[in-house]
Amino acid sequence: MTGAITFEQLMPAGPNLTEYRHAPNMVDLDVARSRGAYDGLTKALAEYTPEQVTGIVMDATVLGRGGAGFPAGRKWSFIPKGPGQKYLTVNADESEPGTFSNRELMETNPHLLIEGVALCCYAVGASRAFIYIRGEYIHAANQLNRAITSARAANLLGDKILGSEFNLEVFVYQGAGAYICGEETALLESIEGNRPMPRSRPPFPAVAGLYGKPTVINNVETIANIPAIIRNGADWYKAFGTPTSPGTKVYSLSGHVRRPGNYELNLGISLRDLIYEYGQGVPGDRAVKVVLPSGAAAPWIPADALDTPMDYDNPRKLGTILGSASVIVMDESVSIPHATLRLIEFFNHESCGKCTPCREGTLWLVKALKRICAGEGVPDDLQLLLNVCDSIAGKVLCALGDFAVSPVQSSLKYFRHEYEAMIPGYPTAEPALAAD
Amino acid sequence: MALEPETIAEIERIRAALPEARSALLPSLKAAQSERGWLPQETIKDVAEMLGLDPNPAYMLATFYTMLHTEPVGHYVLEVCRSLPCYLRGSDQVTEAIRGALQPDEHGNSVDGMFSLKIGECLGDCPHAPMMRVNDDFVGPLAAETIPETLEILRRRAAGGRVRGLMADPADGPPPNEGPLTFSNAIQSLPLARVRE
Repeated sequence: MTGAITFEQLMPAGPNLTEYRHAPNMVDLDVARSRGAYDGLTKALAEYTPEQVTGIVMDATVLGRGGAGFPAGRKWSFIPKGPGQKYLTVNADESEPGTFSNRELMETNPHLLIEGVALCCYAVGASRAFIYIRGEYIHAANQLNRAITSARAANLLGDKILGSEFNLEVFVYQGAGAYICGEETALLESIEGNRPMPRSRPPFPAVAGLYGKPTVINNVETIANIPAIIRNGADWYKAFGTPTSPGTKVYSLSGHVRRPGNYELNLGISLRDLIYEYGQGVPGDRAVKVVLPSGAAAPWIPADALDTPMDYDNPRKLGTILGSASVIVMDESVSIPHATLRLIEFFNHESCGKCTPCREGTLWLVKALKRICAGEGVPDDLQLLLNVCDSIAGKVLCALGDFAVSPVQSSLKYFRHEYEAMIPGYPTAEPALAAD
Repeated sequence: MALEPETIAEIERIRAALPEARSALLPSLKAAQSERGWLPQETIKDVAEMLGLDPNPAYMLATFYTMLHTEPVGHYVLEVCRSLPCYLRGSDQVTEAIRGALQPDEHGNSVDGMFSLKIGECLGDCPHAPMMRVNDDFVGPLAAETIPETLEILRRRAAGGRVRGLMADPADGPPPNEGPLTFSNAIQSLPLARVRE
């Protein structure tokens, strides 16, 4: 692909979450409304019961965009019916390395998220919603607050919204720098004024979440998909993406590509198209060495599997996940042990310290990797790394620990020779059989 | 060293806006931090007392979050992202250039108290890697060669605005009553890396 391409040309027909990313002043309610903002909410309040809204979202099969891919409609259906305080909490903590799609959505089109919040709250009967946004996203938080103020003044939030019996207050809650707050129960702890450390489950948040009340927790992009679905219907939505992964996804592309950025594309695009067509290839035309499909957290995809469609199903065949679709490309110039060390330093820095295997294990991984990178490793270090991984994964309360082992396991699976070459005295071949 | 009237008013506003007092703790600590850029013990205690809460949970928050500082920091907190997307684009060289220019002490503070250098983990601006956070703003892509110039511009910029944190004596600079700093101009005028290939 040659010449300058604009984001608009890349846009698929479909949910178009990023359609107005370059439109000026979308935070202004009148501007946003002239482009269809709150039409979905208006329609839902006039035509649908809450159960019908949940039904449409369930039928559309909106898979959770934060990474887990859990169907949003089903999640909503777990919330008990009837009176009693319920909450929606939007996870806008977005701290996974290489993930920056939620920030752009909130900065450029805050009303889209607010409308989605209102629709979800109407569906589950929640009268209070929190948008938990990471502390560093100051501009995005300001945009959301401005949008909420103007929506409230226009009776799109507040009491008896648009003359209905539906009441809703939305709070923007800013974090203060902690990756762990993206873990949903740590996020709840943070809002409750406690140290953000994950809770043990059960009870799940749908039963006892924020302040002990039933709580839906969804990612920004998941919620931002809802207004268009309500406006256009589930069948319209399912025409995009693949049959089992409907809709579009905002892919965050970073690392060794000429044109990093957010690309909203039909689910199922291949890594090759994403990197070479949209990212315009690797600087210096170097070869892709390996791809991290979901930030630091997910197992890696080797260069010979770039044709894998990036939907919710196909990456599983390679033992990995679509996750948050934050694709980090590493080219052939990268030293894998050094890059792995940098990834593990992240998890060690961000481990909240509650579970011993994660708190201590990530430190041990850092120590062993530093030793190897300094040329001071010993042959047993590679087995030590794998043993420590086994001591963390599945033995901790949240996914941070499980994520932390991915870079070590993946790098040893695909690039073990790079470690071996850095370890003095590593046996270069199978030892010869002792002669009898 | 009681809380300033503006801080008290802000905490009252936060408390009134949120459904539960304990939820007001984190935003109130952030509000109190804006007084001098960091949170002395006394301030943390005052915030907790204002909300009718025990000081211990407040200390637990202040010592957990990376954006809350329990030690003095400079006028500018520089958080250079070191996570993989920035690392692949040369963030280590940028950090080294800043370290070389500032010669920070073991807390990351420059001798003149203007800058505090902190480790940053992914700040969600990878298309502009390598980047850093300068107080409320994101700056990137950075280049090691232009770091001295970048720091000099920030230094000049601060001399015209409100001075806080480690800066010893505001009287050394122009009168500090020109209103709070607006960073947007400074940020736009910072030298950035040439557009990559």
